[in-house]
This record gives sequence, C-alpha cells and structure tokens, in this order.
Amino acid sequence: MDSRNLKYKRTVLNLLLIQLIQFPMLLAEEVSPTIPGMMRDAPEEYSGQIGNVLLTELSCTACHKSGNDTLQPKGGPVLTGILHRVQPEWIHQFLKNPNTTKPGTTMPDVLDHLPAVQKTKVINELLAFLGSSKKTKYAPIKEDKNGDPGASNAERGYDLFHSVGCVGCHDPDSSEKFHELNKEDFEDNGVVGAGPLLSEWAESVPLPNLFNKYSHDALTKFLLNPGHVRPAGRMPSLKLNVVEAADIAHYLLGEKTVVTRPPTDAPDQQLVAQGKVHFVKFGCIECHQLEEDFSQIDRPVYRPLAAEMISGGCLEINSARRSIKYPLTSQQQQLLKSAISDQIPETTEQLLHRKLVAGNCYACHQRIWKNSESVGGVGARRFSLFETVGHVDFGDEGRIPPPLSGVGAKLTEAALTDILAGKRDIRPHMQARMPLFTEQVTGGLPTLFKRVDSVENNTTDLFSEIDKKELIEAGRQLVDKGCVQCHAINGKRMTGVVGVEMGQPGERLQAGWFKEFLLDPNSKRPRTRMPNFFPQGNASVPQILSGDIQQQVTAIWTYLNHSKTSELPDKLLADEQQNFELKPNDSPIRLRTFMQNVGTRAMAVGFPQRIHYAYDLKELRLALAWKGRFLDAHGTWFDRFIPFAAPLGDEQITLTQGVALARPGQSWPTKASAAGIRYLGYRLAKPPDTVPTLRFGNDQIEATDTLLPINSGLKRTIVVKGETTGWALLLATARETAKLVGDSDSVVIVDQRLTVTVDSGHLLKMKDGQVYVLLRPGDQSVEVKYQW
Amino acid sequence: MVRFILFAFLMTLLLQSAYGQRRENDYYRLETIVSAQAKTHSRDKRWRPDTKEVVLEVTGMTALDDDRLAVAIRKGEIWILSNLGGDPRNIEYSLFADALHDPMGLIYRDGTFYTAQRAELTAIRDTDGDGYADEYSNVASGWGVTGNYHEYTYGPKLDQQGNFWVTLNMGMGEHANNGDDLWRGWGIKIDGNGKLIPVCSGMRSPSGFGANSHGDMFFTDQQGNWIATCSLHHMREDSFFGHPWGLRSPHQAKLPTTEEVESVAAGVPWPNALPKITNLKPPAVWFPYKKVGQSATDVVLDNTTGKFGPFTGQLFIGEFRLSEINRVFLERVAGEYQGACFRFRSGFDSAVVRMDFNKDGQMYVGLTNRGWSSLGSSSYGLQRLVWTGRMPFEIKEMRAKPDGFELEFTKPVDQDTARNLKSYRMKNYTYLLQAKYGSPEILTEKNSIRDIRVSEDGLTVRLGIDGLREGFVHELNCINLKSKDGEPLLHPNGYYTLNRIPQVD
Repeated sequence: MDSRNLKYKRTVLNLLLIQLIQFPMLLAEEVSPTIPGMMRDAPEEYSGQIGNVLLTELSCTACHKSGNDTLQPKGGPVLTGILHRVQPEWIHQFLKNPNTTKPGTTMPDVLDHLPAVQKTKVINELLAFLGSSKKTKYAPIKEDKNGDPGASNAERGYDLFHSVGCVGCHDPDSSEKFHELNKEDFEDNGVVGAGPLLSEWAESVPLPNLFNKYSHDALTKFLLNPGHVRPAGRMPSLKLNVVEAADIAHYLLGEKTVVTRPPTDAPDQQLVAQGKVHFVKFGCIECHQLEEDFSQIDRPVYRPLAAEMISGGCLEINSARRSIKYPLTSQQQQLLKSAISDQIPETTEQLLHRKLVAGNCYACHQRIWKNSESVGGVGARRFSLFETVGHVDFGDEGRIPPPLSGVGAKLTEAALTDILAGKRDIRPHMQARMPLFTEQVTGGLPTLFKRVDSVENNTTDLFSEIDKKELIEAGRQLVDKGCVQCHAINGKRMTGVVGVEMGQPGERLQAGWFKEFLLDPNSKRPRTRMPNFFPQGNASVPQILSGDIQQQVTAIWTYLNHSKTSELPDKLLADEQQNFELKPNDSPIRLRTFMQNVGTRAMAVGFPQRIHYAYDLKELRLALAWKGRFLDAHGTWFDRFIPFAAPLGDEQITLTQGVALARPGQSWPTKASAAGIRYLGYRLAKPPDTVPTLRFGNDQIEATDTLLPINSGLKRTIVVKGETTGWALLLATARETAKLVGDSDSVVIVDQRLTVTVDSGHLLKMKDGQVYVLLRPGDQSVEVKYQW
Repeated sequence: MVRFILFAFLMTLLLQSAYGQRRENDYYRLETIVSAQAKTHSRDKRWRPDTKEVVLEVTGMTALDDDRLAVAIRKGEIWILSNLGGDPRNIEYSLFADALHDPMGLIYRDGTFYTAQRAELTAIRDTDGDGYADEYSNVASGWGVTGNYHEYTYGPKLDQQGNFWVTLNMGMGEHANNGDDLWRGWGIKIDGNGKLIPVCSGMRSPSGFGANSHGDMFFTDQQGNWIATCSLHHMREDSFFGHPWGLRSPHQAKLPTTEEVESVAAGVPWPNALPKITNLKPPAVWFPYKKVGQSATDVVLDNTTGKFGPFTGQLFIGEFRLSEINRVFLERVAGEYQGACFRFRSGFDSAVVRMDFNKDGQMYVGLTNRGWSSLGSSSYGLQRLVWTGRMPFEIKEMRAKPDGFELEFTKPVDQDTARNLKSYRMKNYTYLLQAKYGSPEILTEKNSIRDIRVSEDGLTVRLGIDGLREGFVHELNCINLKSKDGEPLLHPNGYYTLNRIPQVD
C-alpha cells in the first residue's frame, strides 16, 4: 500500500473518530477532551510522540511532576475573582458535570467518586470559598477612543466573529455553511488525488452555553484579554478593541443585559473554610491560580510521572478506585499510555510539531515539513470563511494565513518573536488577524523553528563588490520595474496596490530565503501569484547590472533595506505627483464613469463656465448639477479598484429622480425599461464646442437632450419627435417643496433653492414632488432653465 | 571609472542578453513602437511621462487596411496611429474618440468602430469626416454593472454569421453580488437588432476571445476561484465551464444548478466532475500554470497565409503576467475541439493584452499591466512581432491518435534523435474543480513511449504511447530531439488536453 493510500485510511479513521465524538454530544453526554490539533493528520516521523500533548493539555503533569521541562501542564484559568466573571449557577453545573457543561473541556471531573448528595455539598462549599475571594475588584469595561462598548452591535459582532479568525477554531454560525466533505464523493472521485483535502479536516473547539456562563460585560472583558485569566493561552487574543470585543460578545450572547454580580451576602465562614480545604484536597490548587494563603492546609502528594502509572489511577476508566474522571477516547487513552510508559525523548521536530498541535497553530497555518508532507491549514471545510478586506481578489494567498513551511529559514528569529508577540502585521489586506498568544504557547517556538528549518548557507545579508550607491540605484530601478506594482514600500503604495509591505526586509526576512524566493517564487510558495522575474534563470531586465541575476537580487535587497533613506522608485514618485483633476479650460469635457448618486452608467459633462452636470444613461435621468471644480478622474482612469467618482465642486444640486421621458401614471417611473424607452447614444457638436446631445426613445418617439451653461445655471433643450401624445418630460424633482412663482405656470422654485423656468409654450405640472410638462401632439422643442 | 563600468555593462549586455529570448528573436523579431518610459529618456531619473504623451495602455486594437492602427486605451480614448513603419519618433497620433468607459476591445467594420464599454456595446462614427468621432450609438446593453472593478466587458469580436460577441467578467469583492450582476460570467451574442443572446456560462475572467478559422468562438479564462489554471474554451450553446456565479442569471439554457456545482466545492478531479455536473464542458486546452502562461488574455487567429510563418490557422494567446505569447493547435475529436498549447514568444515589454495582424502579416502587440503586474520594463506600450523568414524548429502540430500522438514539425527532424526513445518524455495530470483558487496538478502519472515512427520526409513523428488517459493533460518533452540541420527545438514542450482519445486514426 502506498503512503498516500495509508494516509487516506488514517484520515477516514479520523473522520470516524470525529463522528464517534460528535454523536454523544447530541445526547448531552460525555464529550472527550477536544484538542483539535491532535486530529490533524501528520506523518509518524513528527507525530510519533504526540501522546505527550495529552500530558500537557490534560495537565497530567500538574500533579504528576515530570523531569521533562517541555511537559509543562496547561493548567486552568485563574480563579481569583471568578464569581465576578462567571455566573455561579454555571460554575455549579460545570463542577457537577464538567464535560457536558463545557463539551470537550480538558478539566477532569475531580468529584466523580463522590455520592451525588455529597458532591452537591462539596460544590456549594467550593463556591462559597471562591466567592469569598475578594482580591480583585470588578471594574466594568469603559468607553475609550474606539467607542462605547455599551452600544455594542450583534451584527457587527457576527461579521467580526466570521472574519477576524474566531472561526479558525470555533464553528461558524449554522447559516455560514462549511464546505461539507463527503467521504463518498471522494471514494467516487479518485480518492488518491483528493486525499490531501480530507487530511485538511479541522475539528472545531466547542463553545459552552455562553449565555448561562457570562454577562455581556464579563465576556467582553475576557475577549479583550483572554490571557489575563487563562495564562495557558490556548484561547488567544485577536487584538480586538473594546467595541469589537463588545460586539462579538453581543453576537455570542444575543440580547442579554444581566450583569454578573457576586453574592453580596456575607459568606458562611464555615462553608468557606470547608471549600478552601476541598480546593487543596481535590487538587484544584494544582491547576488554578488563586490569591489565597493555603499554607495551613496539607497538600496531597502525587506520584511523579512514571511508566507504571499506566494502570490504575486516573486512567482506570471503569473502576470504583479511580479518583477523578477523564472521559478519554480509546485512542486518547492509548496515546497517553504509550507516552507515559515509553517516555521516549522527542526529536526537535517532534517537539515543534507538538507545540503547534497544542497551540492549534495548525488551525490556520499549513506547514509542509521537510519530507514534503503537509500538515494543517484552514482546510477545505473552512477556507471560504477567510476573506480579504473589501473582498478584493488577491488569490488564496491574500486571504488564507500564510503557511509555516520553512518559516525558520524565512524569517529572522527576532521577527518571529515579534510576530508571536503580536507585532509586525504586514498583511493589512487579510481579514484574519494573527492572534496574540501567551508565552506558554509561543515560548521557544522561534528557536525551534530555526533549529528545524535552518538551511546551509543561511545568510543574514547579501553582499556585492559593486559600489553601494550604484547598487542601491540599480535596486531602485529594479524595484520600480516590478515590485512596486504589487507591494508597498514603507507604507507608500501605488493606487490600489494591496500586497505585502516590502520596506526594510532585512528586519524580517533572512537574506538567503529572500534570494531564493525572488529567483523562484514557486519553490517557496507553490502556485503563488508572484511572477518569476528571472524566468529560466534569466533577468527580465537585462539592461540593469548586465543582467547578472545574483547582482540584481543583491541590489533589490540592498535598496529595500535602505529604502527609508533612499529615493522612492519612479512609479511611486510619479503616482504621488499624479494629478487627474479634469479642468475644462477650453472645451467641454465628457467622462463616462461610475458616479455617486448617478450610477454605473454615468456621463459627466464639465464646461469651461464652471457649471457641470451628470446624466444617468442607464435610467435616462438628468441626475446632478454643480458649480466650481469639475471631477477627479483618478478613480476612473488610474485606480484598479475604480472608486465611484464624486463632484469636486460645490453648490451641488439633485435635478431629477426619474426617467426624463415617460407617460405619467400612478407614480413617475424611475427605470427606463418601465418608461419603455432606451438610451440610443449621443452626438457631439463640432470641436471645439463638443457639446453632447443625448438621444433616447423607442420605435414611436425619440428625444434629444442638450444642456448648455448659462448665467448661474444650465439651459436645457429637449427636442421630441414622433407620437408625442400622452408623453411628458420630467424637469425637476423636489425633495421637500416645489412652489410656482406668482400666477405663472412656467416658473417654479424647488426646495427653496432651484429655479426652474420653462418656455412659454408649455405649462409646468406637479405631482408628488415631480415637476414636469405634458407634451403637445406633434414634434416640438422644450426649453428649460435651471438656476441656483 | 564610472564611465568605464558603464561601458563594461553595455558590453556585457550585448554579449549576455538572455539566450532564450535571443533565439526567439532570430525567428520572430520584436520591435518596439511605443514603450512607456522608453530607455532613451529614463537615463534621467527625474524623467516623467510627458503629460501630453498618449498613455498607450492598450485594451483594444485593430489594424486598418491603410496601414494605420486604431488603438483603444484604458483612459477611454481611441487613437489612430499612422506612419508606423519607420522610426517610432515619426509616428503620428490622432485622437479619434474619447470619454469611453474602460473600452476592452476594438473592431472596425463598414466605416464604424465598435467597442465594448463597461455597460454597453457602442458604435462610433465620424460623420463629418474631420477625423474626430461625433456619433456614439448604443448598439446593445442590459447586462449587470454593479460598480465592481472586476466587471470588465470584453469585446466585441465577430463570428462567422456577423454577430457581435462580448464576454462579461465576474465581479470580485465590493459592490459585486449586490443583485445587479445579470449575465456576469457569460458569453453573449448580439444580433443585428442589438438583442442579447446569452450563449454559455461558467466564466470567471474571460479577458480575451476570438474566432478560429471556422468562425467558432473561443475564450480564455484565468486561474482563480473555481478555475484550476488558465484555459481555452469553445463558446457554444448549453455549455458550462466551471465557475458557478453566472448561474444566478435567469437563463433558459440547459445548465447545472448552483447547488450541483457547489456540491463539488471542496474539490473533485475534473474527469470525475464531468459526469456529475450537467453540461460541464472541459476546456479545449488547459494552459499548465506558469509552464504556458499564468494569466491568458487575447485570442488571435493566424490568418496571414504564411506571412507570419508556419502557423497559419492556429491561435495565438496573449499572456499578461509573464509578458508572453503562447500558441494553440486545435483539432476536432468526436465532434469537440481539443488540442495542444506551446510557448511561442517571451520578452515583451509589459503584459500582453491585445494582438492583431496587419495586412503584411506582422503582429501588433498591445501592452498594459497597470493594477496587476508583469514582467518587462514598461507599464504599457505597443510592440510589433515580425517573422524574420527564418524557419524555427518547432512542434507545429500535436495530434491525438488512438494509440498515442502524431507530431508534425516545422522542418525535418534528425532521423537518429527522432527514433531514439530517450528523445521524448511524457507525463499526464489533471486538475481539481474546486471553489479554491486554482488547483495543483493532480493524479500525475508517467507515460512510457512504446514505439516511434518517423515519416520519410522527416516532418512527422508518430509516437505510440502507453497509459493515455482521457481528461488529462499530456505533457510532452522532446528534450533531445534535433532537426535535420542540428538545431534543438525552440520550445521542446507540448501540452495536449486529451479530453477524448480518438477511436479512429
């Protein structure tokens, strides 16, 4: 059997295990401890000692000390002030049935051996004791520069929960469907090739009933800084600000106004004293920090971790002798037993893998190990939940967290340390955030990555014999030819560019990696969008540095590392100085564009007289007019993402909200199709006048529409030919008021601002704010003046 | 000293220019007509494009009979260039039309230019003969335009019956999917009355299309979500090409439901997806990623009757990122088009977006890379590719046979190397149809070459090959093959998309 096939079989086994785990959950029964990283398919070479994960994640070594420093127990939350944060009823329920109250919890049932009545008594005493802990005063979350957490919004919270990275570990809302993996699909469809998809299966960390557990305030506080009460840091900080945290809490809890209040009655001191003894006797103290003096109470002594422990004790599943209960799966039991009995020293690779499993780094990051086996990644099921900011198409590398393959040879140790400390975000285009983990998760990772991934000829700088000034200038030109079209340099970017920041790469990247990546991007990131600027080992810009590719890469590296003190590449300079403002100095200027309040088929016309208008050619609506400066064409002509244009000038006025030519009915049509006419095109007056005359109509009627600037406004001439009976022309739309001037039927003041005057051959009519004229039978011309 | 170094640079530049490109240049000479920041100016690093310079970001191009060239540019203008034959400094530019919204194609028929703007197909005429257009007519419109940047409208081009065609890019991101995306992801035929006839769907980014020698229309798609790698598809009725977003439009065609396609979102190998999805049609040609381009654009038929070299009747495909042109040979097997792609010419100054032949069989190549990026030293420009008359040694045709492939070369092969099994290597692979961005090559297997028959004239080689698989790309490498006059192949690889193995020879 080949290895891929084996891998597939293992994966199917994993799937079945998952189903075994999930099935009981429906019955609210025991759920085995969830350690999602363990479900990731990984080659034996790295996962051989993976049972060690259980020793730390189940905190076995909190009681049973191990001489192995890498087996630090995860431990539980800090319990100081717990009743300020968590509802006592929930704690009661949790202590009674840990793994049904919080499915997948790694906390054992330490009271399992007690008869029910006694169990309840012990829990009440423990709660009394926990409630007596007064060391931390509870301070509600306050408003800050980000806004008021009290005004949280569940919809925003929903969006954040589904974008910043929460769903990397937790289930999304049921309406946000996972891409379902169907085992039969794969069997039907060439399992061998599709196998790797299955191995990307990513289990979720279940959430308890948060509504019962937290108040809005308490959950907000927890989300802001999970590491504060959970030093184990398996739940990281997603770098939320106070409003974001409040929004997510609002989404997770729904409309909830209850505030957690610790019991105000003076606690029964006898209960408290009993609880304190229980806290030590039942081993709570081994995993949980609590600021109290326990020196007067004898602490039980536990056996150190030893091979003979694999029978009896905690692992005795069905024995009355067991003191505490871990509802382990049989696979977990086996892995744990062999970890305890074998105690084989781990290789550096195994240790690194174990840390990535424990921290669930694999939830978001794929890592291709040296033997080209891939582990982890967001997986097929979750990948649609990751997006770019603004949903800009940027390939998967723009939205999926980067792979950790060879990262120890890519990043400097200092950069890795910074990134794990929540600094150096270089992917502003990615919605998912690199979370901030605690030292317990990240400690030692930079060194481990470096040891495992280090390559020969690892170098921190690239050198050349060429004079540095010349090298920098050559690098500047090379960067200008390619890099700046996708990348920012020191925050300066060409319009619409969204790629990774490239300034000072030496602070982040190892020079050797940079060189190899530039020479063959695919070798480091398969199928990356980054093109190979040195195809077949040739320079694509042969005229710089004689086309010597080694010198060119060195030049790029040197320039970028000196980019803060060197001149910008020409394209960035030019982009900074580009001016796309349209100034109709001599003749009218037309611009077809997307335009705010006009639409996606707008034509703006600017006149030297500094009076301008915009027509919606889709719905045939004279939309806007304004005075002063005309338009900036930057968005239309230059920006890849073409933001909608907006008038630059002032005295902007909305002229009509409806189709120019229609049969008045119940209400004035706003769609050209509803009015039964279509845009036919326009004709242009001879240069230099170049005034456009729009044409629209249908088989029976055709109109032309021409606007020209006049003193303080526009003159509009509409010529209509054909079967005009029953048709009318829309001249203005009032938002608030439209008042005829004096006795006349030819002048109206709209919204106290715009004066509309029609020629003497037509009478103004008004209905529902629409100002229009009815057409006489036969061909005719209508002249209108707009003045404002 | 600096001068000496500069001189040394120039000398080494002359001696060391990229070998592959120089070889290509021996057969197909690349001439620069307009290049942004032309090298003569760029010595001064303070140099900026003249504000009066025409920013020739070419998105449409049509060679006129009188040796003039009409070019549509991204700024929304049409320029007519004359005096193109000689020194580029003598080119005359004449503005013909302006205020167009992202024109993405240009053709000329009966005294009228036609271009597709974002929201309409427009006919443009100069009725008073002053050289500046004065009549813009709406030929057809009605497809959705939400305001999303990615919703380009490409075209038009003409089919054999004289219908216009346009292809409609899917929106990506902001404003997209806000309801007004009618016919996005579709190939649309427009009849003489301006009526839209939506023909086929499943497109993502169909930035280039054109007719083959039979007047059948083909478009290229680009790797992205749902699109495994770039591809060339035959546009015909009741055809679905893999990208499901266009299925939302209220069509009458026999196409799959969105749900049907979404059911394979997690990924199914293409050959297995075909029977599962109604009228899912495989591409006539896959362009393996980065082996033959990574962002295919225009489709242009070699109708030069030999003036452009030996490839008459074949299609040339523009390539954006890698600034190249690739070549496609098509044949019909069991009634459907399939065929092979080959690299053709690299080294353009910028992304190749549009191509057109003039009446002398020279190819104009229009370039622009703004917003994305490409190889090459310029951000836009116009170049010309001219056959030098020297015959390149190339695999001209790669034809599928029941038991292997038949290769036809542009000139006779060396009998010894041609008969050597070690001169050929073949492997085959396919792709996943999946919602993800692109696909790796999957299910790769090697093929063994069983026997070789070389024709007497040395122009054709018949390879008997084991392990042919329908639905797989067969990648051939003729690494050691030599021509009779001792040349290696200019491009030793051919990539045949074997949708069907022919039943008869």
